[in-house]
Amino acid sequence: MNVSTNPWVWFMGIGMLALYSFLYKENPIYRLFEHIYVGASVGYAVVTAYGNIVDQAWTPLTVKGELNLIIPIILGLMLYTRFFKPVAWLSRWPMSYLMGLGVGISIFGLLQSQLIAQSRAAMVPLVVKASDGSFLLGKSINNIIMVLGVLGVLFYFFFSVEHKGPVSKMANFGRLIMMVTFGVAFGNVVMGRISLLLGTISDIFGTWLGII
Amino acid sequence: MWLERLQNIDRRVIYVVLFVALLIPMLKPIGIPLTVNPTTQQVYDLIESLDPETDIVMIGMDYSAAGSADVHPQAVAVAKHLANRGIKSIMVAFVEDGPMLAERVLKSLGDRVVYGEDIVNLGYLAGGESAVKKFIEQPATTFTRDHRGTPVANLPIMKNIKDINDITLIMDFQTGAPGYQEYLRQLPPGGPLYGVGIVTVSVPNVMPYLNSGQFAGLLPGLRGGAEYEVLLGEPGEGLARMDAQSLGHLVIIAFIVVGNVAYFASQRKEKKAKG
Repeated sequence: MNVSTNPWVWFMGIGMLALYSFLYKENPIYRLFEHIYVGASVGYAVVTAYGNIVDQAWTPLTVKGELNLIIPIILGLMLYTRFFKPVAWLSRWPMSYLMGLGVGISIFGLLQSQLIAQSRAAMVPLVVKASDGSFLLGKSINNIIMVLGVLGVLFYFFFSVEHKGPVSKMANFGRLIMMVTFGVAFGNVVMGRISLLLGTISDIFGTWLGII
Repeated sequence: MWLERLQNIDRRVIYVVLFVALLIPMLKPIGIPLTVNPTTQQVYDLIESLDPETDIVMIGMDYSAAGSADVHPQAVAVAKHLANRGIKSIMVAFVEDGPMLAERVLKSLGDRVVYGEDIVNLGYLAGGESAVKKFIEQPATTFTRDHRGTPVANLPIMKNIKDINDITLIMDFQTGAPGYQEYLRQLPPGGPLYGVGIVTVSVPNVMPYLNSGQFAGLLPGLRGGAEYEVLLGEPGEGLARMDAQSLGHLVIIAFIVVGNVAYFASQRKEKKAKG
């Protein structure tokens, strides 16, 4: 057993145990470390934001003379007017600009990356053959399931036609596919949370107590 | 009575059993064999195919401390692979925790790399997708200094980068936004290849992008990191946790089976009692 002598490692270990004590029941120690965690996160975010403002705005403006940054800087400062009631309306201008900017820079790429590319990827052959002409059963089955699954889910969310007869069957198949997908997603969530718990165990029993 | 108890096991019992099941293999490894998935092999082969003389890799350090237990082993393994092959890399972060985690990755590389010549931590750029867009359009001039305060002009590695096409591969480790969606929207057609190391939770969401060819490779969570360590021949944090991960899954499956068996048994018992 090689217990760490670094006080910050001790703080980390005790903090982890304090936060996990919530699993038993809420208690003042948990509350204390929860507030410390939130405060530290915010402090870190403020410091990194300050560094970014200095590097990306102040230094280019004052040292390199990039006067075109004056307008974005003014818009950024106007965002803070929301904290002062008489002039809070001024913050709507830069907020609107940010919203428009966000839509503008993403919409072209969104059509390409998430609509066109994905649609093309769904158009796969149902009968797959190797380069020598032999039939590939596994890949063919995969492709059939994928195409039917895509169509089924689209049918499930298509409400312009009443879901009866063949449409109902297709929609039900789509629902089945979605349920399987949600199960897969849930399984991955469980796996991910276990990974995070393992990280905590490694930090407590390895880094702090030196047992692992 | 006991059927009802099995369906309503106190969650604290589950916590303790799960904790013990995870702790025991961490203290005494079992050595469960680990097979390598094609997705991890794809990333490994991609990096093996790079030319150390001409290719530069951008390592996107876009994961947070909260998700680092899942993604950090992958980042370390890939960084070691790049360093072993002598491939130059630049580390960029679009999340606040990124530069701090990049320094941890650099620490794990030790003497394999010369900072400034083989690898650099450029730091964090705020702005989400606008920041990603800015860096892709102006990779040479976006940062004026690196995370350690050294002017970019004094870093030999940055002299080889004029535009985004000088970067051959972007290997992006991420836990949320900005992430793969922002990169895919902003990367130009015919630009750098884009590979992703992502938290386990997000793997089902990103599989369509791997299948469509938009991702050059995918490392799925802690297991992806462990598999990469196997391929690299350098066991690390990922591999050390795989036994515990497997046992943890078995415990969860056991509880689900017990709960369902108890449920159906109690349903049957009720029907018999009525009938």
